[in-house]
Amino acid sequence: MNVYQRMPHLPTVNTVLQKVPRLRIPEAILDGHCEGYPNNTKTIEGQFFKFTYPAPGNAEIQMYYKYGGSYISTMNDTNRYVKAYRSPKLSFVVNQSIWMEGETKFADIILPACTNFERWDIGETSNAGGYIIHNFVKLNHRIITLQHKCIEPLGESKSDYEIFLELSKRLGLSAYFSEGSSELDWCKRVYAASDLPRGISWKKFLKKGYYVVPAPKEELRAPCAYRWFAEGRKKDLTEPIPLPADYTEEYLKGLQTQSGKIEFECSSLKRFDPDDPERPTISKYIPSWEGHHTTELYKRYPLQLISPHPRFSFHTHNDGKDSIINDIEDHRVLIDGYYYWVIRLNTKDAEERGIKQNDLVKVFNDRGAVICAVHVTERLPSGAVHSYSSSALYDPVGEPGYSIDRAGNINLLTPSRPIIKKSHSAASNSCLVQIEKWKEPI
Amino acid sequence: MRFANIKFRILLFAAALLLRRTARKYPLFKSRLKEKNFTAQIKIMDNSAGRYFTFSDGQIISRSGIHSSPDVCMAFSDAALAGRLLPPWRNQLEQLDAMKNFRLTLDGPEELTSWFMETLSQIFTAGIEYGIDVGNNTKRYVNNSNAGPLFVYVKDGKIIRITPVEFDNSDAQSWTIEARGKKFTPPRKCTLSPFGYAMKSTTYSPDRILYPMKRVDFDPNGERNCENRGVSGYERITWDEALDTVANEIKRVKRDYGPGAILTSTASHHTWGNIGYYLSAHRRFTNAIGCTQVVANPDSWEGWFWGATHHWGNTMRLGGAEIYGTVEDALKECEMMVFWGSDPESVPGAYSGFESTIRRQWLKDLGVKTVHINPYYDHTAALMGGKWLAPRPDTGNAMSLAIAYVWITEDLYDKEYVASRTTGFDKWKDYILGKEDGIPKTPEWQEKETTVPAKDVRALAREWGTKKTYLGAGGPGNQEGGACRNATGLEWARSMVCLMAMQGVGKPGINFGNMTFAAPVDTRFYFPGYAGGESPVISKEQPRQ
Repeated sequence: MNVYQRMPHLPTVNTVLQKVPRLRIPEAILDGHCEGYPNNTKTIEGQFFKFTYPAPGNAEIQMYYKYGGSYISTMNDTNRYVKAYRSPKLSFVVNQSIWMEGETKFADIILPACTNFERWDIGETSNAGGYIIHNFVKLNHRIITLQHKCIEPLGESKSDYEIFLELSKRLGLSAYFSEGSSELDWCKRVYAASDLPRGISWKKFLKKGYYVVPAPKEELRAPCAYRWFAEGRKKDLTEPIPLPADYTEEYLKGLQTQSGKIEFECSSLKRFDPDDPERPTISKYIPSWEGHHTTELYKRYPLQLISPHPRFSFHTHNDGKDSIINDIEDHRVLIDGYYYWVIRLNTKDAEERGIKQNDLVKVFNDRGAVICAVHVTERLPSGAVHSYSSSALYDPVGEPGYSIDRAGNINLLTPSRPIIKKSHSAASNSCLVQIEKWKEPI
Repeated sequence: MRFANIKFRILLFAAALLLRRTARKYPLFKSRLKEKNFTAQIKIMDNSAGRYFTFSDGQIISRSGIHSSPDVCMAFSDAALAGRLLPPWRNQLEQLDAMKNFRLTLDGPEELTSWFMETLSQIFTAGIEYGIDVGNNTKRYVNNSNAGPLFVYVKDGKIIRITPVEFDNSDAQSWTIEARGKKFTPPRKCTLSPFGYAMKSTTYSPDRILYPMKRVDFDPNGERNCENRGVSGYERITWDEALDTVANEIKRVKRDYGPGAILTSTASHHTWGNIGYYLSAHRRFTNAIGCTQVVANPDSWEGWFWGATHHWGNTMRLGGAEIYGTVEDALKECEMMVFWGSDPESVPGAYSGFESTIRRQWLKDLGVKTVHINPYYDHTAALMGGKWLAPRPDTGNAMSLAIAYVWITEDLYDKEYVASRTTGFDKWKDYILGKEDGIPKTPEWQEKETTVPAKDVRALAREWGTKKTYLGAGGPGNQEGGACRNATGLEWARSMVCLMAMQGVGKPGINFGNMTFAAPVDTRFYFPGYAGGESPVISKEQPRQ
């Protein structure tokens, strides 16, 4: 094979072992210490190995090289991140970004990157590699594309590869970084390393821009998931990452658990912490720590907000930015020249608060407040409200980190505590709020 | 050896010819040659052979031999190696190997070495033809995105239209599934998520950053005014100033504080492509300078990763289910599909547009019943028209336990499967029946938590326990999104696995899925995904949001 498995960064090895849990970046910067649990997916026990920041012998963070935007609005209790950005303990922030989004304007230097329409690349639709294994099986056809450079970069923007190469030149790293290959050269290297040359010539691929992988004969289709397990056979799936050491009896026979079976009572939890009330060894009903049983809080904030992934944008991708998506009224509503984020409220709850369709409201709890436009609906029971997460914009009406946001950052309201203490996790989908009609001029 | 030496000399001679020929043919390349004045030497390390190239105001002077003081020197340990690595069809792994073992070296100022390598590479890419001419001075190019693959129509250097990719007759045939006397074949085009149609508007957005910028009150050599971030405005600066500032800051922080003082992180789901993606170019560079990386939480998977995985493993799938063959199995066998916190018409997991909508339509055409459990009457429920149950948010696990209660007390589960394929059932059973805490987890008990009437949950449990049922839990049918991201998300995801274990997951018509996973496409054709074919451990330490 003519490339590394993962391109083009594999031959570089990071010598820094210090890590920061994403949900604790603000605490790392502001308090100078935090802890987390790893996302180690090699084995069931990988998630138990607590780590701390700062790591032994490592310095506290001085500089933040942020690539793109999104933490402001996708990370829980977002005001924490805003406060961290404004701390003098962080002496330098650079953001490399295509757009001036919510987070970009917290940088000292901004490096303008271009979109993938303005540079060369190669990629298969929905193929996330090990990130989501065989994710392309969601598609009706596997399609691999040579991503043409369709237009020249706008303004003085540059491709990310070129920006990193320019910095590399200033650090004596350019040959190490590029290996003499341009972006198009790298595309050809990936082409050559894959099965593509058996299906389409480079010349034709370059011209046409895509290749549809033929569907397999019926006899060669992947068998149904867990049929092997239900029938007591060895695993017969095209498992790309088999982890042989994690089989207890014979390789490919049974599951990854200690017993090789589905465990109603988890042996890994029995070994790790059998008395953890937050994660017992069997699944139990544990009332929510932010729900109708948390009486004091529930009295003040009687509405339970659910905030799933957005329907029309992809996290912050393609929201804001004068995107045509803004004109979908189930996404944002244009009121007095401003595109407000939508929150959905049951008819009865709206009536009780004197709120009508497309009224502006203040959605708030102890963590923050957001101005939204209301959709009154029967698609929710009374007591539940619904708003998608991940506004790309952040538009505080006063001091950043301490004031009401006008752009729809629902994650200003969600809790920053982990779902259970012994994890690095976030309950991004639910929190308690109150809603009242917004009457002040903005 | 002598032959290798001759080959090396011929290749170098050809390189000089090609440089001049490319300059004659392509004006852009010709003007590029005017950018630098210097001499580059390519040679064998023992000086037994070589040629140098002097670039002078766009002219190239090339001579065989060893130059006394070249600005750039590329040296090979031997002529045979040089003969293999100079042509563009070189084996890149051999080139890397040669670099690692100092059998190929490159010396000189970065600006010139880099320019020289790029120039050699451009001999073979200057003036390449690509894209399809569709008339009216318009070209159709191809690109890719989180939303799906795209046709990009460009006229006069400007994108005029972006559409989903439609196949032609020369593209491979689609699959057909035969089920219950019908044949199902997908349409001959790709689908796009809504935001895919927005990409022309965001490419030309007024919010594009077109120039390097500096915060007006930031002075790297004086007052930094960090507390004004987010408030102060920006001024345009040159690329040189921007890049010098960033490079100098990298050096300063490493010099003054040592390792770990530079933090870096990215947005995931940036722009598509294996080269420019956040896991490739960014990771390659930040590894090279040494950075504290950010460890992502499994943000869309929480309950599966921290909870479900302890019941059945699947760590590499973050605690989610195996995903193969379920579209065909469901079309052939399944009698009911339960969508639980699962709205694939809004969020089918990542990157797959509306590819699975047609499959759910087929299921509807076959008369397969659906049930939708979600506080919000979601878009999948609206499309499928099944029964809607709306539990109070963040209480769903009470309903799962009550379903198990009905199955246990009314003998509606697969006892043979539970006995031979699972462990620990009796302990859970005792808890469900109230032997552990004195509270039987009855449908009436759950009603107090979820507000869903006991009779509805009992009816659901009875139907589920007697029909071959698929469970779609989370956006794509297991894993991402929905109730697993709640304060009670771990226990909910755990119960999803336990319920399916009671019904015999893997038997015909009984599995995880909502038609999003998995179509019968080829899983053996190798093309690396953006996180490559490597262990996901490394990539999963990357941010996901």
